[in-house]
Amino acid sequence: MRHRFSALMMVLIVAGGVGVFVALPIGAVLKASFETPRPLSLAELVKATEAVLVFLPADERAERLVGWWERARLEEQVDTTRTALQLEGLPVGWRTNERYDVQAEAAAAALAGLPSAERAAVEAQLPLVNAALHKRVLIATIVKDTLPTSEVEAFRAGVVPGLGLANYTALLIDPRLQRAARNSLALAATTATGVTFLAFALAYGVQRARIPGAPVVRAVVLLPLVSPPVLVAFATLLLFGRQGLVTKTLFDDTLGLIDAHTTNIYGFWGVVIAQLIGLLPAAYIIVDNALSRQDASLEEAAVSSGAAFRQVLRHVTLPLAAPGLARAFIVAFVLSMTDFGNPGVIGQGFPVLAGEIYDLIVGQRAFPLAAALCVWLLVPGLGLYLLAERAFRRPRYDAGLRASAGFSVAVPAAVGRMLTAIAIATTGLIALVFAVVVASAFTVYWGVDYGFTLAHFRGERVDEAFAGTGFGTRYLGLDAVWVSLQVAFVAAPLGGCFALLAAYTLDRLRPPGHVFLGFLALLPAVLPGIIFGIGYLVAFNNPFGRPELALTGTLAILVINVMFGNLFVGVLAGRTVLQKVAGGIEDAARTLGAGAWQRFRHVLLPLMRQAFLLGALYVFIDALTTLSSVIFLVSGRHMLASVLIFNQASGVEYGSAAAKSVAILAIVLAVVAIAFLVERRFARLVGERPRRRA
Amino acid sequence: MHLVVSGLTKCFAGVTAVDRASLAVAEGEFVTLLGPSGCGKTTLLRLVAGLVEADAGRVMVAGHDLSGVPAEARGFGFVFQAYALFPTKTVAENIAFPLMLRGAATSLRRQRVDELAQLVSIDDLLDRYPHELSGGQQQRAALARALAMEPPLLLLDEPLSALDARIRQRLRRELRELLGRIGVTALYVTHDQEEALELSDRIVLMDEGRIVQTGTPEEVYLRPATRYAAEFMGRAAILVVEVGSDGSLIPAVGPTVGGVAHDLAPGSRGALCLRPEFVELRPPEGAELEGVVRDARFLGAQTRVWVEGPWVTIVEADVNPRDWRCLGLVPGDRVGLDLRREGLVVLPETAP
Repeated sequence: MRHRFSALMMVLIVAGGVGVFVALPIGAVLKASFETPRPLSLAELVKATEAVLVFLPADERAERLVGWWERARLEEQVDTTRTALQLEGLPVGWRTNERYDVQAEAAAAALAGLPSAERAAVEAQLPLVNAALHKRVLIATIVKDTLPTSEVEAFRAGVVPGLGLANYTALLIDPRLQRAARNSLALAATTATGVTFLAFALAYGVQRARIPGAPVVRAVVLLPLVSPPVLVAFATLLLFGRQGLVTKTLFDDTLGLIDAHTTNIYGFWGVVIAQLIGLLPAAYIIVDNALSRQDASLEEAAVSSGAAFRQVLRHVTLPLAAPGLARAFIVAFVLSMTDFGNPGVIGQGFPVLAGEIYDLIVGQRAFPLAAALCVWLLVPGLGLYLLAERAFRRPRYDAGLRASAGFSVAVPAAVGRMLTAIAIATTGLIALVFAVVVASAFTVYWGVDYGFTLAHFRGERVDEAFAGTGFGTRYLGLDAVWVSLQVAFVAAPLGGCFALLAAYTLDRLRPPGHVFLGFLALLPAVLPGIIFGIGYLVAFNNPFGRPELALTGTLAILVINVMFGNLFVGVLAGRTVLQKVAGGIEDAARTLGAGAWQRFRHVLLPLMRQAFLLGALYVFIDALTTLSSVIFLVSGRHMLASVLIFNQASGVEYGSAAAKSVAILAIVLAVVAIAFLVERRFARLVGERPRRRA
Repeated sequence: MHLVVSGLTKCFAGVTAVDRASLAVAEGEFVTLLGPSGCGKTTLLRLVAGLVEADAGRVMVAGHDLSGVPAEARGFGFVFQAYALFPTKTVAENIAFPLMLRGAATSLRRQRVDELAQLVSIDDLLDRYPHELSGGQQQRAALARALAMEPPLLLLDEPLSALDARIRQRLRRELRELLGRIGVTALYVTHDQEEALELSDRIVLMDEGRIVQTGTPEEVYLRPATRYAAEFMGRAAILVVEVGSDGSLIPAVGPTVGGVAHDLAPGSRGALCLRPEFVELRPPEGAELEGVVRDARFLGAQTRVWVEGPWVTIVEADVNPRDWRCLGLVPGDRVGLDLRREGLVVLPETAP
């Protein structure tokens, strides 16, 4: 019994964790997207008001109703009287588009003209009808602690919950949303095309054309992967915005060529530049991988049959790389569609769908519509994916692990020069982006006062221009970075452990439904963070109808969100290790008396060290740099640096945003370096490299 | 009987891997499960170990029914083909692993590890990691680990097959000597009949999930129960014959063979197994049978001669190289064959 117990516990923990923290929020988003409340009819409204009023103390009830009716304004009196007449099925004998004082007289006359029995019935209704029409907000605040929030909300809005497709059809009707959707598609198509081209040019240059400084190019291109959010958009503003170094300081203030207030980078092209650089690492990794898996002998075969460079490229290299290029395009497309950070910072006058979703949630708390738009966001990416699957459904021509060490097809000098130029321009731009952000962190006020200061790191105010405006009065300095770091330090080891436990459970214990559980664990990898964030907001505001279990507003929800949003990295890494481990090792442990937990703890965990480190590191970096999911989950008490960077960069607090960015960048790079060194030392300790002892 | 297996059955995806296997092993006995790959011998071993759950049947050790007892609670020693040493633990930690799981004191563990290491002579390798050991050393370490808890039953799954031929032969002898000394009951799986003959007190021959024959090495080799057993246990040319009214064996073509002991009824079909070492070659004059030499190869201890026999079948004969030289025959020459009656086995032939 004892031996089955540990296995059962592990299955329960993994299934419970994934079920509650992945399936539940995503299910909540889907459910919310179909919520279309129906407005109550007048009669229903009065009935609902009567029902809610029961929760008022009995002695207060009548008194309040009468008081409200007596203090009702003229127009409220008119509307109430008209409604009461309608409810009794009596004709409204006056024109309702007259001025209210005229209507009031007519209403009084109409009442007076009724037979006394009917008149008494209408007059008795008046206080209640008045409350139903005009005092629902007040009543809602009085009963808000006695009734469930959802009921109170529905009463205040005068609706009943219902299901329907209205949220989905909104996109097809609302011109504002349509414009945003068109913008999103145009942006995603442009960015994805550019990123894919750039990724191919760089990867091909590094691998085949042997451009100079290839390791530097790789490192710089991958740098945005570990950088804080919207850093590129932010830097673009610092260069080309209204206060930009190039636009204002150089062209406007110094040369007087343009007016930086009107001629600047805000808008479509600004977002494209920011996304190009921000999404380049993901695309580069995919294309680089695709190119390095190609079989060198195929190109050599083409050359030996007389093909020139261009023909080799066209008939061999590109067709073989096509699935990889398509993957890079789709990934960039989806990430661009769901990115609201960069458009938020630099896309003024260029609304995109993701930004609309953000506004709907933060501004209007309109979750159902936001949820439906999130589902719409997935549609183009999913369509592209299915298309690509169809197009490339054929055997893969991978060279497997046979590395492409000896590509001997000579790249023409002109092409080599072009690729080198692209590499220099790209790496130069990225380097400039990071340099500008670092510089602005030490600058008093960018675009105005380029003096040196450490004030942004200390949290001191540097400009008094906004004193009293409410702008930038909070969250200066690095306090939020420490909060982010707390989240990272708690989430990373927990995430790493849970991922390995999940990998082991899914791969070895194989409980019923393990395929579905595995799918759930990987789901956050393909779902945009924005959906995952909204899901947490919807699911954990009032989980299972128990407000005391609410996680929103706590530090825990941030930790859990980051943990489960990146669970897939550790799970994938762990399962890869498990699939390589000879099964005999676990059988050996079993015959020696080790139960499920002991096998995991003593035998497999030591082997999955690297997977743990990778999973934990990913969670750690994401905790410091993610924006899209946590932005909906932060609260005044628990504010994360990444969210503040977004807020402050889209405002005008460049120095403060830059200081936080620099701090995060420094921490992430330091942690990655430490992880690398620790891993190397570990590997040596447990003899993963040959070692001799007497 | 110490270990009693009765009616064990296991199916994988509709394929019966082990089919109603029953056997009994006495305390201290060394029994080998022998058969070609896919015959179910490893599955049977894993069923006994509890690594695989049986569909039917049961395993009893020392009178206790082990149904429903998982592998980790059975306390048997298991030695794996690929050693299965934990790569992140030293040899000492590997051997001490079962002791550690049971919370043995550190001093006790060290003492026991030293004892076991001496037993399998790897006491100078205790601080090494598995990847720093040779295959033979790894297998010794794995054996020490399996013996650490003084198991009532030691299960060995082709433990020598990953080693090269020389080491395999040396370790085979050592293993037999060591297990005899500590007197452990052992169930051993191999596909190598030579290994089975050398090691076992008894051999259990398996085919397609069924136990075909159980017996001492001599019994199984000299008195195979089926044609399959005869062919698997050594080289054998098979001659299909009909039993004559006087008990002589009549092939479809060629001379009749008489004077062979068998218990087949006259008129029934049989398979006559001719093992090469029971065929003697001599000059054709006065020989029992006559054939034509097709080829002869020197194999060291003997010369193997392929003779196109009197029954159109190729008959193999293993002869002393010196005797073969004395005969002075070359391919194409006629040669006489004598069949040594003590080596001839006649089995019932079921197929037409």
